[in-house]
Parts: sequence; C-alpha cells; structure tokens
Amino acid sequence: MIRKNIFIYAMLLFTALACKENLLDTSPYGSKYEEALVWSNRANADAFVHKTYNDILNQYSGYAGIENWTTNGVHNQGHEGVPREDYTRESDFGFNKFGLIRRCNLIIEKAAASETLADGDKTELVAEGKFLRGMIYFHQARRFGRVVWVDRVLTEDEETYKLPLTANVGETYNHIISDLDDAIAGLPETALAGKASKYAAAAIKSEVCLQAAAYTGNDSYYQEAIDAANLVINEGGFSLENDYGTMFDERNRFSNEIILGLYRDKENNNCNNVEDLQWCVPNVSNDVLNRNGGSPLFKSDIQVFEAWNQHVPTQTLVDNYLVTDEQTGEALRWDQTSQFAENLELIGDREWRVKAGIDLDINDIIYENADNRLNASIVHDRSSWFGEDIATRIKGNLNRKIDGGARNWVMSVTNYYWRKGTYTVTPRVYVGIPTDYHWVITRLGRVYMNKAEALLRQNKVAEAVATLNVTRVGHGGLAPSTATSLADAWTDYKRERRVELAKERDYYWTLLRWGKYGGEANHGRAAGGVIYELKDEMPGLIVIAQDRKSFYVRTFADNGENYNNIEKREFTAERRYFFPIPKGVRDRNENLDQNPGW
Amino acid sequence: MKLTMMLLLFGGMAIAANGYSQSTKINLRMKDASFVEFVKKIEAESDYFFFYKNDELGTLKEVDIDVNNASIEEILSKVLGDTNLTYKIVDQYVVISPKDGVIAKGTRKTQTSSKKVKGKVTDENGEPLPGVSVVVKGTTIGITSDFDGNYSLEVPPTGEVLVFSFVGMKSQEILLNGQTTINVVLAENAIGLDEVIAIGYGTTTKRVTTAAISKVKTDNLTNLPVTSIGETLAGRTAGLIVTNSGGGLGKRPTITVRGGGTPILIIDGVMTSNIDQMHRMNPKDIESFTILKDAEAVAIYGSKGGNGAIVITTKKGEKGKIRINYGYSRNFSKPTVLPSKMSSYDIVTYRNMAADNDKQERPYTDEVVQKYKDQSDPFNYPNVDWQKETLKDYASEYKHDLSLSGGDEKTQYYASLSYFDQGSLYKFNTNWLKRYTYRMSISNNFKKVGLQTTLSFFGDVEKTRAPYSHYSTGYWQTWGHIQNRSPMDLAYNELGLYSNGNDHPIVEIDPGSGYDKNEDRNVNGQLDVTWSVPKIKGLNLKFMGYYRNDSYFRKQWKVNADQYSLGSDVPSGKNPPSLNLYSGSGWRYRIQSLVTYDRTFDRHKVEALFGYDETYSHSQGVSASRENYVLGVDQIFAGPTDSSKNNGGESEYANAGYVGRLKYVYDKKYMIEGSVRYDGNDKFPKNNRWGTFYSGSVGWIVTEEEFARSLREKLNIDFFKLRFSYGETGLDNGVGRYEYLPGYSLNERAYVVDGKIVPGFSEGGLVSKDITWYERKSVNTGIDFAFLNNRFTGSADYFFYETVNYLGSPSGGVYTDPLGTSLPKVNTDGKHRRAGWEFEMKYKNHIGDLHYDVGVNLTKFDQLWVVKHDESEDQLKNPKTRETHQTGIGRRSYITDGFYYSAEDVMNSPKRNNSHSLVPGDLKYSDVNGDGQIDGEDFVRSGKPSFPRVMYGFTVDLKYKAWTMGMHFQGTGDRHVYLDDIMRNRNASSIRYGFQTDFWTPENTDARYPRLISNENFNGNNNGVSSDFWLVNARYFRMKSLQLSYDFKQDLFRNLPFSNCDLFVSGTNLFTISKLFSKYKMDPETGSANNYGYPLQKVFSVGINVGF
Repeated sequence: MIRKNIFIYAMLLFTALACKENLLDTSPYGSKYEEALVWSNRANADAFVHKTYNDILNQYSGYAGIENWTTNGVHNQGHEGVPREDYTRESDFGFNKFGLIRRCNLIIEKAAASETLADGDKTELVAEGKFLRGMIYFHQARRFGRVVWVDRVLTEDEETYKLPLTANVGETYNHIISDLDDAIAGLPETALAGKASKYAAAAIKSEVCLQAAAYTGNDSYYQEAIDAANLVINEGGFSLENDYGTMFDERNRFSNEIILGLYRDKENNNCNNVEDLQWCVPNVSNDVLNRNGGSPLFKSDIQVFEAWNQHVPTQTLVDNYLVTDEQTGEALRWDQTSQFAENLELIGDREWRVKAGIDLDINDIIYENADNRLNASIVHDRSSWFGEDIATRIKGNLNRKIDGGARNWVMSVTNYYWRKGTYTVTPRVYVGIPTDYHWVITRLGRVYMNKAEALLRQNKVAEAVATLNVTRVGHGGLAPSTATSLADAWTDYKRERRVELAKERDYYWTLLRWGKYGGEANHGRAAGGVIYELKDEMPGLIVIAQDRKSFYVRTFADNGENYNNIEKREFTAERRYFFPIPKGVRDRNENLDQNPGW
Repeated sequence: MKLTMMLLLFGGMAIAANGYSQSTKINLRMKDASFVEFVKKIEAESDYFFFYKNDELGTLKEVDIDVNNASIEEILSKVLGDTNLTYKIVDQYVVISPKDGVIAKGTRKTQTSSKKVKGKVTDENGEPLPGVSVVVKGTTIGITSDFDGNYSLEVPPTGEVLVFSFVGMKSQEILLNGQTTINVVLAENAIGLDEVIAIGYGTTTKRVTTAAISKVKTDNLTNLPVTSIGETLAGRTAGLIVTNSGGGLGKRPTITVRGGGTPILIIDGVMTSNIDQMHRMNPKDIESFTILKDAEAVAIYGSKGGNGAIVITTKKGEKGKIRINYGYSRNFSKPTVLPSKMSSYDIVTYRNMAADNDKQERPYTDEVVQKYKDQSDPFNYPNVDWQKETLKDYASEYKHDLSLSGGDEKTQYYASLSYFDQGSLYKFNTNWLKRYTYRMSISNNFKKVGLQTTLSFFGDVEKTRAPYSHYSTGYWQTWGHIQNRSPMDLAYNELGLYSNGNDHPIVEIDPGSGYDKNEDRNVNGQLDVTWSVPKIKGLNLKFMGYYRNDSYFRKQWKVNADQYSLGSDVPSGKNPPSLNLYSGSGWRYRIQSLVTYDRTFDRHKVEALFGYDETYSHSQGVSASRENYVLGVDQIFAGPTDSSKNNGGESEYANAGYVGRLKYVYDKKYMIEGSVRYDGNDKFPKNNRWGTFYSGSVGWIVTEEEFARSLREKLNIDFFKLRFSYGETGLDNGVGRYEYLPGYSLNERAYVVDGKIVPGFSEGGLVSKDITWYERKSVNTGIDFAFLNNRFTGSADYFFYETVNYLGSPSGGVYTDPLGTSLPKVNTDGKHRRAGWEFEMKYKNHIGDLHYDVGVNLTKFDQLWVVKHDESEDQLKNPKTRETHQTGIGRRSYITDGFYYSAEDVMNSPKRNNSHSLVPGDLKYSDVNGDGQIDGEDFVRSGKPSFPRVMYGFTVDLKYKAWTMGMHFQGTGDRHVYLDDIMRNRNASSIRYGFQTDFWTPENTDARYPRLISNENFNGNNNGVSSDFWLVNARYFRMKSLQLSYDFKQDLFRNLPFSNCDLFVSGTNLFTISKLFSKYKMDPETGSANNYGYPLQKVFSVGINVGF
C-alpha cells in the first residue's frame, strides 16, 4: 500500500513537470511579415518595389569595367576576356535572372490582386513592375537575344520549368517594348530620384527600339524610338546640364538632365562597393615620389591615392574629343588643328616635339580648347584631381612607371584616369570609407543620341545632325557639326555618342548595334560583319616627356608597349553578337537551343 | 570469486545508510543446506548482503536452522557458532571471516624467526578498506584486512615484499626493509571493464554495455599545453575524428564522431549543441569524458543525436579530509613551421627573369637591382624581413588553477578556480585571450529520507583582444599581411617611425591602432536531486534543474596607429576612427525528471528508465555604431551623431522529449537493451514537431558461458563480448528556423529614393508546410575483449549509417530556374551512406618498477551518396564528375599531363579554350574526352577530401618510481589540400618563399612549378586553373604530445605536507611528417593553403602541480 502511494506521488510529480502545451510555439520575433500586410497599402508595397529597383538597376551599375570591352578603356592587367573572346560556351554572362523577374511579376500580380490598395496605386505599381521587368529583360536581350519570357509568378506546382526561349530576338523585343509601353501609360509624370516616371520608360524605350531594329532589321522600330525620344524631349521637362561633368558626381547628383539614376547613400555604401571608385583611383604616395624623383608632391596630409586602379581610359578614346582650332573655330581632331601643325614637329613614329623657340607645353597644344567633356571625363597630364595637381608625364606623380620604373598594377598603363563618376570622398577613396554615390541610368543627352541614330537610320540627315549637335554644342562647347552627307553625319554622330556616353555602359552595346547596321555605321563593312572598333582599333596610350616638350602616342600593339596581351583583339562575327547560353544551363534544360556559333 | 564480486559491489556503493534497521526480523527454516544456499536465502528475504570467500568456508558444515522472527545476529551466531568463522555487520552488509583473520588456505607455518607486521589499509580519502589481500610476495602466505582496514601478518624471514591488492584498486608492493608497521593507502583503479561510464541519462560499464561508447581518460591530459580539452582528442580514442584548421587564440578544432557532423554535448546531463562550452571548461574539472557513437547510445537524444554525443561529467566533492590542489604551467609556442621569405633582391631578380620569359620590358634596371642587392640605399630600396619585424620568438601562455574538495558522510564539496592567459606571436601585447573558470558544487546525503542532492554553480568569463584597424579586422588577416607583404616595402622611415603604406602589419598590431575586444560570460546553476524511494528497492526518482545566463559585450574600435612619410616626424593623415558595439544576453533552462529502477533478482538484472526533459532558451542583442570620429575618444557618445546606426533582435528556442530505456541482463551473460525518445522540436510545423526515435541492442558475454571456461584458461581470455545495435535517430539540418512559416523579410536599408534610405521587402522562400526530421539508421557491431589478466584490453566496431529523406529543395537537382526561387524544402529521396570500422587496444604491464601502458586506435570511414538529391541531372550523367555513388572526392578538375616540353608539343596538343601564348614549361592538360579541346568536359574527380578518412593514434604512458611520461602520436590517412594562388606561383610578383623558385626552365624540366610567368593573364591563366597538379597529399603523422613529470613527494619532499608535488614539462605538435610540411612549409592542418592563416603551433610547457 505504501509502495503504491509513493509510486502515485512520484508519477504525479513527474507529470506536473511534463510538457507545457505551448512550449514549442516559439516566436520568430518579427522576422517574418505576412504577404497580405506587404500588399495592403502603398507604403508597404513600395518597400517591395524599392528593393526591386535596387536589385534590377544594380544590373546597370558599374561603368568602368564594361568600358574595357571596347577600346575606350583597358584593364591595367589585361584581365578582360571579352575583347579577346577568352570565353567559351561554358562561360555564364548572367543567364539566370529569374529571381529578379519573379520580383517584377510579384509586383504586377500582387498589387493588382490587393483588396485594399487604391486603383491609382495599383496602376502605378503594376506599371513599375512592368517597367522593371522590361529593364531586366532588356539587360538579358542584349546579351542572349532570346530569353525565357516569364510573365507570371510561377508556382511550386508547375508541370514543367523547362520553358523554351522566345522564338527569335524580335519576339523578345516585342515583349519588352510592350512592357515599356504599358509602363509609359501607367507611370506618373514625375518621380522621385531613383524611381521611374513615364519619361524614364520612354527614354529606355528609345534605346530598346534601336537595339530591336538592329537585331531584327525591322525599320519600324526607328519611328517608335523617335516618338519615345520626342515624348521625353518635348514633354518630360528635362534640360541639358550646363556643366556636363557635375551630373556624374556629388556636385549635381539630382541634375535635371537625369531621367533615371541609381543612388546609394553613405549609410549603406562604402567606396569598395563601387568599382568606379575603388578600381579607378590609383595608389601612390609622396614616399614613392620622393624615392623616384617624382613630382609634384601631393599637398594633402593624407594619402589621397590609395586604391586599386584597374580600369583606365585610353588615348583611343581621347582621340575622339575634338579640339577647337584656334584659327578657324572648327572642331577638329587634336592632331589636325592649326595650333598642332604650327607648334609641333614630328620626330619619330607618332612622336612629336615642340618646335624650338616656342614657349608652350604639349598640354597647351593638345588639350587646350578641347571638348569640355574631355576634362570632365578624363584625368590627363596637368589636370587637377581630388585637389591635387596631376602630372602623368614621365616622372609625374601619376605616371604609369613612377614606382621604380616598373609598370605598377595600381597605376594607369595609358597615363589617363577616369574622372567621370569619381565622387569626392572624405577623407579619401579607400576601402571601408562610406560615401554617397549614383549612376546615371538614362538622361536627356542619351535620349538625343538615340533620336539622332534613329533619324540617321531613316536617312534624315539634317534632323539627325541637328539632334546630335544638341549635346555637341551644349555639353562639348564645340562648333556644331555641319555634316550634310550621310557618311559625314554618321562619322560625327559616332564620335558624339562615343564621347557623350563614355563610361555610361553604352558603347559596347552600341558597337554591336552599329555592326548589325553595317555600312556607314561600321566603316563601310557589311551588316553583321566584324566590327572595326572591336577588332582592328587598338587601345592606345600617351607618353609625355618630363619637360613636356615632346610626346608620343602609341598603341598596345606597338613593340615595347604590348603588355599583358592588352593588344590582343578577337571578333568572330558568326557568334560575337550574342553571348553563349551557358552550357551548364543547357545541360539541365534541353529546350534551350544555343546561340549561333557557340 | 563470490567475495571478489561482492567487494566490488561494495566498493561501488558510494554510501551505506548507517544503522540499517537492526530490528529486521527474519523467519528461516533450512535443513542440510549449504552455506551458499543459506546466504542466498537471507539475501532474498532481507536487504542484507554477504561478503565471504569460498575457500574460507572449510570448517563450515551443513546449515540446519529453524528460527522465527530472529535477528540477523541471532541467526549468524547459531550458524557460525562452532566454526572458526566470525561475522561482522555494518549497515546491511555481512562480512564472514576467519576468527584469527588468517587465510585458511594451505598449511599455516609460523616460524620462530618470523616477524609480525601490522598496519592499516585505507583508501585515498582515509576511509578504512576491509578485505584487502595482503600477501608476502612469492608465497601463499597472506591475510585480508578486517573491517577497520587493519591487518596483522606473520612474515617469514625470507619475506621481503608485501603485496596489497584489492579489486578496483591499484595494487601496491612495499619493501619491508625492517619495518613492522606499514600503513598503506590504496588508490582507485577504475580502469577496466567495470569502470563506471556516463551515458545518456545514466551510467553503465564497459562490461555490460551493448552500445558503442568510448571513454577518454582525461587525467593524463591536464598537463598538456592546450587551451581546451578538445585539442587533445585527435587520435585519443577510436571513433573520434578531430581536425584543426590553423591556429590562433582560442581557435577550436573540429570534432566529429566517425566523420559525421558536429556531435551534441552533454555536461552533467545538460544537453547543448554549442560544443564551445566544452572548449571553455577547465580540463581539470572533468571527471569523465565519454563519446557516444552508435544509435543505441544516442537514440535517447532523438532528433539531436544523429551525429553522436560527447558526455562529460564534472568532478564532485569526495569524502575525506580537505584536499587542495594547485597547478601552474607556462607555455611557449611557435609555429610548427614557418618558411622564411625571400629578399627583395631575389624578388626583383625573378621578376626580371619572368619579364624576359614573356618578352616584356624588364621592370627593374640593373642599377635598381644592384641597389636591392647591396642595400646601399635601404630607405629607397628596402629589404624588410617582415616576420622578424612583427613576430616574437615565441608566444607565451600561462595557467593557474586551484581546486578544493572534501567532505564527510553527509556533505561533500568541490570548488575550483582557473585562470588562463594566452598571448600571440605578435610583437606587441595587443592580442590576447584571458579566461576565468569557476565551479562549485556541494552534495548532500539525507540518508533518512533517501535523498541525495547536488547543487552546483559554475561559469566562465572569456575576454579577448585582437588588433583592429582599417588594414586588418582580425589577427588572421594580419598574419596574411606578414606573409604577403613584400620585402621591398619599407617598415620604418629614417627616424624609426612607421612608414606609410597600407596593410602595414606592424601598424596593425601596434597598441596605437584599434582593437576588437570581446567579453563573454556565463553563469550556470544546477540542482540534481535523487530520491531513493524507501521500501522499493532500486527505485529512484531524479530531478534536474538547470539555469544559465549568458552575456556578451563586444567593442570594435577601428583606427590606425600613426604612420609617417620618409624623413618626416609629422604623422600622415589617416582614415577617421569608427566604433561598433555589440551587446546581448540570454538565458536558458533545462528541467529533467527521471524515474529509474535498477534491481537484480537472482539471475535477472533489470534496469529501467523513464523520463521527461525540456529546454528553453531566449536571447536578445543590440548593436550600435558610429563612424568618422573627429575626437579620438573610443566611446560611442563621442562619435558624430549623423553616422550613428543601431540594430537588434530577439530569438527563442525550445525542445522537449520523453525518454525511456529498458535493459535486461540474464545471468550476466545475455543482454538486451532498448531505448526510445519521443522528441519535440520547434523547428518544424506544429503537426510535425513530435517524432519517435529508438534503438535496440543485444550483447553476449561469451566468456561467461560454461563452455568457454576451458577456452578462457587456455587462451588466457578474461572477457569477450559480442554486441550489436540498430537504431534510428533524427537530424534537423538543412532547414532554417521558421522556414515552415511563409512571410516576407525586411531589409531596412534597401534603396535610396530622393536621397534618402528606404526599407525594402523581399519574398521569403516558398514554404513547405509538412517538413520534418530526416532519419539516420545506424547499425553497429562490435566486440569488447580482455586478455592476459585484463592487461590486454580492447574493442573493435564496424559501423554503418544510412541517412535518408534529406531535407532539401528539389531545385538543386532538377531544372527550376524560371521559378525564380527554390522549390519548397521537402524530405527528399536523398540517401547517404557512411560506413567504416574502428578499433582500440591497450596493453598494460610492468617490468620491475617500470609500469607501461600502451594504446593504439584507428578509425576509418568513407561515405557516398546513394541518391544525391541536389546533384543536378547533367552532373549526374557525367560519370567522371558525378558525386553520386562516389566516395571521398577532393575536387573536380583538369588532369595534368606534365609540362609542355617544346613548341611542337604545344602545337600538337589540345589546348584549353581560354589559354593562349603557351610555351614549354606551361602545364599541359589531358583531353579526357578526346574531343580535341580542353574544357569543362575534361574535368575528372581527383584527390581526396581534406577531411581525413583515416585517423589513428598511438599512446605510450610510462611510470617509473617518481617519474611519469606520456607520449601521444597521431596521424591521418590520405587527404588532399589544394594549394592557393600564392602557393601556386600565380606570377613572379606573388612568389614569397625560396621553395617556390623550383620552377620549370629548359634546364630544370622536372620542376615543382611551371615556368615563371610575369602575369598569369599572359597565357590566359593556363597554369592556375583548377587541376590535380596543385593537389598535395597532406596526410601526416605527428607527435601530438609528450609529457614528463616527476613527483617530488615520492622522493625529495617525502616529509613535506604535500600529498603530491609534480614538476612537469610537456609539449604538443613536437614533430610532423607530411609532404605539405616538408615540401611546402605549411602545417598539414593549416587553415589557409596560401599560408595566410595564423599557424598551428608547437607548444612547450613547464609546470607544477601541488596537492595539500
């Protein structure tokens, strides 16, 4: 009996301790937000849309690296596979962007389905979803031509995910243009910086149409491009920035010329997150200058230049910044001006010297009176940069061989540096230092360029020249082009687009387009042929003597200058107009047939 | 034999209730019964236990007795009345012994010249030991000690040595040397089959267990110069695979049981998945250390037990006089290997050579090369030995520990304190770890009510400081800078001040730079109550309550020490300081209640356990930061408010389970055991939270069988057991917490609109509402054996684990990319097998005074995916690279076919698509699929994983008089390390060490490295792409530890009031044999195959342990 009681007591004690019903109902403490809440009001829905803007526009950020795919820029160490076609069908140029596409489709579907959002909000949200979907697919279309078009939120219960590619490039662009048209219709007239207005969609459309026309041969896109551009130009309320360079840095980051920008704030951004800072600013100290007899010494007490310069502009690009002839006021190539002929004499292979008795430096002759955009975009000998007097001449403080005569990996191999897009950072550009930043995704100048190209394709030479002169005069401060022949107009247009949009993620895609056009757009070559600028044009550099009385310009193909295979250029016309669909993806989805030549 | 067994039992009983009711009355009626039958009868009828020795019963005739309601004394007086035997009763124990105390065996011969020796035998706590056999060595003359431990013996004149032996105690031999009174203290010798081993929710012994468990002897590890017990475990016992990845302050090794994931840790019954708690313990507080390996041992931990368990019990107070132990040791450590770097002259020479190879302009003129060579202008053409500038000859560590224990029948206490201070190899004392641990426990026995309680308080405080600057955010980063920094970079200017330049390692470690300080503390309280339920023999109720409080405070002050331009004493400008603070706290409880029943009925022994436990924890943390400090004040308030940021959050976690175990042993021969856990895990949705895990096992002690008797004698086998277990445990890896809940996540700084930061939502993963555990089925077959009078013991096991229904998303395997996210996680058809075997053997003996103990163990396993749920279809279809059905894959890469030897060879061989400008001396790759080009299709599985598949150890422990010595060797089977880019000679500028100059030249075609190249892009990085050429077998054999100690108490200080006084020297990682070590100057257990990681160290230690 006693035993029994004890046993019962023991069991009672035991069960008293046993599991509380809700012990395991632990809380995620706010780490999960219900879907309905996100789509219940505009502010919450906007939070989803904003993250989507960030992720998709990021695909359009980073300007300096992609410029090395053309001769506008080079990588100091030759780490750039595209110019050499150093890639294979196994390379992946970002085929899988379906996560971003899903975000767009979520916006389109969830906003529309919301029971609490106002109709006006729904329209705008859906339009933003379509704009962003158009943006990400445009990014894909330029790379791969055909895409897997996903226009709804796929569920976990789909029969198959092995969806096919669009039938052809035309279908891809029709989808994109349709999305952009819907965006133009649904987006508001004005938008806060960082977000798209209807004019942003139109500006993008003007460029999408050009690419579509080039790759499909369908000329009707040109008028669509012009109409879209005119919508922006005539109704958008944007104006050309007076001081071109300022809209790419902190001085004028909300310039009225900018139609759409991607902004970063020092609260969530460091120098090392921006290739246009960390990988464009060189690395040299007064100690190095002292050791090597370099000058001038830097004035700042902190080492201003202590980053990892990799991406630099070339003499080849600089050749395109015209110089105003002192005698005629004409805009001419720097080596064709009267001041050049009068003051310099040729002393070797592309090597000149200031004639005896002339009290001028090389800089005075070749950089003075140049297109305003040269100084705004490029740091050259005797520029001022980050408050320092820059010398890229021999023994100059930013000369390529200033550190012991060796070509240093953090100094420019061309003796030029990118200024465009370098923010002033306190105390300096350095890893871990927070800074604001922005990239211009599209702007009024770019829209003029798109319009001019469409007009040229329609053989409307006069209108086209008038359109290209808007930026040539307005930004460049040059005399207007007076071209009357289609060929001359193309020459002037090509140069204008190249300098106006240098380092704005434009030139490589534009060159592909021009190659597709052929003819005047590609040195008289057949449509779809080898693109001159991607195969035959060599990146070049400049070397100015220590006394600035002589200089030479060479290319990396020249003996003694060839360095790390920078001069190596390949262009296989049969396949180069698209990147390969990565083999790794095709192995998993047999419905994706490969692009030609891969 | 019976007495032996009984005494053993007696020895095992910690306490005996005093004054066991004398009023127990017995009814007994027996006729012509044997004494044995008599004893059995009384044992069955009452709670008395008898102790006697069969061969002493010679004079005892049959027992005839018929009593009613008699006391035990009355009965015994009757039975033993006319014999020469007598009895003594203590509590419920009855000891039968001869009246004159002399063993009756043989003829008693007392010689006139013999002398009488007497004394008292006690245990280490001063308690008398009855029944100790005292024998004159070389004779059969002997006696057993009486109940007070006293003995008295006539020793013949030839007798010189007395041997004192007692089961469970270490035997002692004492030279008489004319003494007539010899008092002996026998030490416990619980090593062997009957040693108590802690397991999940209870204890067992090697003899009776049917599970795969190993006990690690830790008392001889405490003098080793290690920061944690974990560092000593590699190669210590079968089934453990322990690997390091480099060294560093407080760096912990990776510990696995048979190559699985991280095991759970149970300290005094409290389970945690945070194995760091073990690493932070004072090794001297550890009483026992057990590894639970098979399902039988861990199924009782349910969904957490799949990867095995480490069970630690801590020291508690022992009865006896107060004992104080103090220990001090000082360690000196240096890298196991440190290759010296090349001079700047070497570097410029090789860079010029590379430029010549590539027909590029030479970077250095002859004039410059000369300046680097003759060092005539050392400030402009420096040659800096960065290792010398930044490192000390050795890092220093020291340890103090103090413990105190004692107690009486009612109360025992244990208290300990330890302090550990570790410094780094860096020149300045800016990188350290200080750890304090404390532990107090008090045990009480309330005998009248059958209650035992133990109340413990313990915890630790760990403080660390690491250098922190704009150049380096951790000591490992600084190590990389020391190795990678070019000798051509200047360290100091002419005035002896730090020169400019980033990643300057001396600046990084200078006290003027910033710091990363962390203070981490925890306080724990635990109450264990055991109630031996009166009247129901063998029934115990146990309750455990545990509470832990954690807190941390971390402060990162980022600033650089001043640097100067050449010739200047004005500091150069520098980045402004910033400060980050992190703080948090947490608490956790565990309660556990168990009912155990343990009883032997005749030949049947039953052990049963049933219980419940639950754990809950809650933690919370905040962080704050400010940047761009203008004032150099390292406080959060002193920073600019416009840069201030903060963050924080809370989390909680719960687990509960019902456990049960039943064990039945028949006739000490046959064992069957089963355990079960019904486990609740809050990681899964409500309907799928509870699951059942179980195991079953059987054992057979062959040597207990009658038929084995002759075999036992012939082969000198003492013990041989077969055991087998099967079980299913659970695993919950592969899903995060709350993955079953749908929802969006918020990023508070997602985008910038109109110049302002705005938050952003993202969709969460697709949710599967019915995820739950996946299972690991395990089979274990093993033997345990003892030969040669238990001198040679060992175990061997074969194990097989099959893990099924892995949690994962099908998106890994099938093509679902357009979905834009992963398919929901489900229990897939993923199936994985791991199998292997292990053994350990020990041999123990002595040659004269030299006692030796030799052990060897080896564990070998391998594993493969039967179905790899996340292996993509295309990969699966490639027989050369697939992982499914393949064991031990190092990597997938090209296979090299030597170097190109001529231009023709380059022309005529298939080339990698991205490679160009190839010349002789570049690596040539095999065109495995024969399609004339080298691309990803030519990848082949190559090498072995760096995680070893075989680990073995070998230990030798020697004792000679006052000297003891322990050696431990350890090694692994094949494992491969893939050299990182610096070690692959990426290009001429990246070469740092002399051995890297063994590169291909037309004269040196049998080189370790391909030709020297100025820039890897020159040939499309042909030589640097993934290939088997850079796989190095990092299999190793090393002397893991050595210790030598001398006990002064046994010699010089015999008369001082110490109980012991050991002086010791010890060391770890004293020598290493490995290809990686000898050819690439890296420790085989390096954390970085670029030699960037803080290295594993070779440690020497001297110390002293004093006991009072």
